[in-house]
Amino acid sequence: MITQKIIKLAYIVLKTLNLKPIIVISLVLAFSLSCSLKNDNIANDIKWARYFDEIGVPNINLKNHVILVLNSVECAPAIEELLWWDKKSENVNVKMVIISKYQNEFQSVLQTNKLTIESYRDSIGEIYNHDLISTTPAKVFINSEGKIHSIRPIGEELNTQALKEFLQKPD
Amino acid sequence: MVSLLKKLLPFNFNKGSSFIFILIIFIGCGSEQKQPQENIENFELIHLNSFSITPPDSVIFGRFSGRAVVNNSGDRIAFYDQVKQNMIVSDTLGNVIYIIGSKGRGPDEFENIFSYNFDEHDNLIVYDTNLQLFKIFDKNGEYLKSFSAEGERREHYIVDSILYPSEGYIYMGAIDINLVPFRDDTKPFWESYLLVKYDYEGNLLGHLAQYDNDLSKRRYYSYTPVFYLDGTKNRLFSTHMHYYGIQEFDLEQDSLISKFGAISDNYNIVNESNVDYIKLMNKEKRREFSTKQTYSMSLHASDEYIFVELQNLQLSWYNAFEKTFKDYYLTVYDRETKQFLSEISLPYMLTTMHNNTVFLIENDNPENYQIGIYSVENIKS
Repeated sequence: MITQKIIKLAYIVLKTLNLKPIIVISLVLAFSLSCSLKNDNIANDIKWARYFDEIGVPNINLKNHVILVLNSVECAPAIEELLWWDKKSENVNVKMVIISKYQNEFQSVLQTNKLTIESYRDSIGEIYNHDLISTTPAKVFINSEGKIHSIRPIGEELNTQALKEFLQKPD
Repeated sequence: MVSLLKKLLPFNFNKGSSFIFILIIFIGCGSEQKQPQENIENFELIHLNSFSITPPDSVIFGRFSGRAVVNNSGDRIAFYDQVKQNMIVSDTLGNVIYIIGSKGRGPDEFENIFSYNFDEHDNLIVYDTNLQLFKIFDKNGEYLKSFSAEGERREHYIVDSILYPSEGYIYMGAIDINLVPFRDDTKPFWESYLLVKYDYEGNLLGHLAQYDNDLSKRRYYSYTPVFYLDGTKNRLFSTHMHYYGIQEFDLEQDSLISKFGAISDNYNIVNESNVDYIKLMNKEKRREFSTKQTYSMSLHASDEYIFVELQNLQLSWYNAFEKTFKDYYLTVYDRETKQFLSEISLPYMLTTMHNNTVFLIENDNPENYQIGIYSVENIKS
């Protein structure tokens, strides 16, 4: 409502000052600006969905998800945290991406650690080309609107706290 | 240039003085960066054989560490599977002799394997850094014993991934805990001992050798030591990950015998005066910087030669940690004269050496892990 009133007021001022060309230019500028903002603000889950598409997982819905990203060899605390997420995955939407050149290597990570989380393989580190994370192991919280809530390292903090924050303040 | 100098300098400028002036400029530039050493002799890699390690039925391999070790007689190799936390010992035809270990804290289990090697009796000694335990397995892979490493994380940190057993002792790369430059780079780590010596009960028997004090002049370095221990001749050769200099120690006397080393054609050394250290806080800058310096990764010696394995990173390596995005070289020195002889380009990553034989990882797919065996030969022209 307030925005509409401001726009109306601005229109009246500009009209009385006979500044039609400026109105046109302002509108064009505002439109182009909103477009560019829209592009920058492209829903993060769409960026991630594009990435998943590239690694061979089309049409994925990532809203309200936790995505775990790791290499096939990670430190012991990170593996411990994965086991924690494995248990949580019954009640929370968790997906895992393992950057692993070979299928055997990928299978071996799941088998050795007895992980049952829905997992996908990124064979060439495509995630870095999409600029989605800066390093591994990382966990990404995507809220119900598809926006990134937070990106945190795996194995360096209390997970319960991170998950609580995510669930309490999904925005 | 000479006419310009004539105008600028407050003294009479003749041909002689201009020559001396220009000479000074050239000497000044030259002292900043050593010139690469040209190859003196021609060495070539001669392919002898290749083999794949075939997993026994129902076993799948995970991911092999780039570091393998060969026993004294050169007929068996131990590989470390980093995903499965086990050791695979095969012969040089690829037949698996035994596989030991899995994740856990039991006698024959591991949490995080860090160092390993064969002793003279083909026992495999493995050090687990999480458990801080040595574990010994006989030549059939049967568990023999385990013992803790006295002083680890109280007096010193163990720092190199290869341990060297010799005549009932185990030698490991280490750094004095009080000199670790972590969060305090003013600590003179180069004053630390380089090796710790254990017996087969885990008793700490002493500290040996020293880091290279040439590193005290450098601001940017990795203090990770790289070394090779020749137990039969009581010799230790050491270098550092970001340095080309090599030290030779007499282990019996615990004394430094010689220092040598050359910048070979493809050895990249950082000119420290041009480094903006603040910028290196940025990850991209740091990665870019890492491509401008060479990494000395391992050191080996035969009766005739000393070898240093070098790696140069390409920026794309950081995306997938893919071995093909590195360039590999082997520098060769005469063991007796210490003279630099040659730099050889390696077609694949080196995993280990035995005498003058190089073992290269030709295929790192765990389904068909393939090792090529090559001989390093001096081609007399």
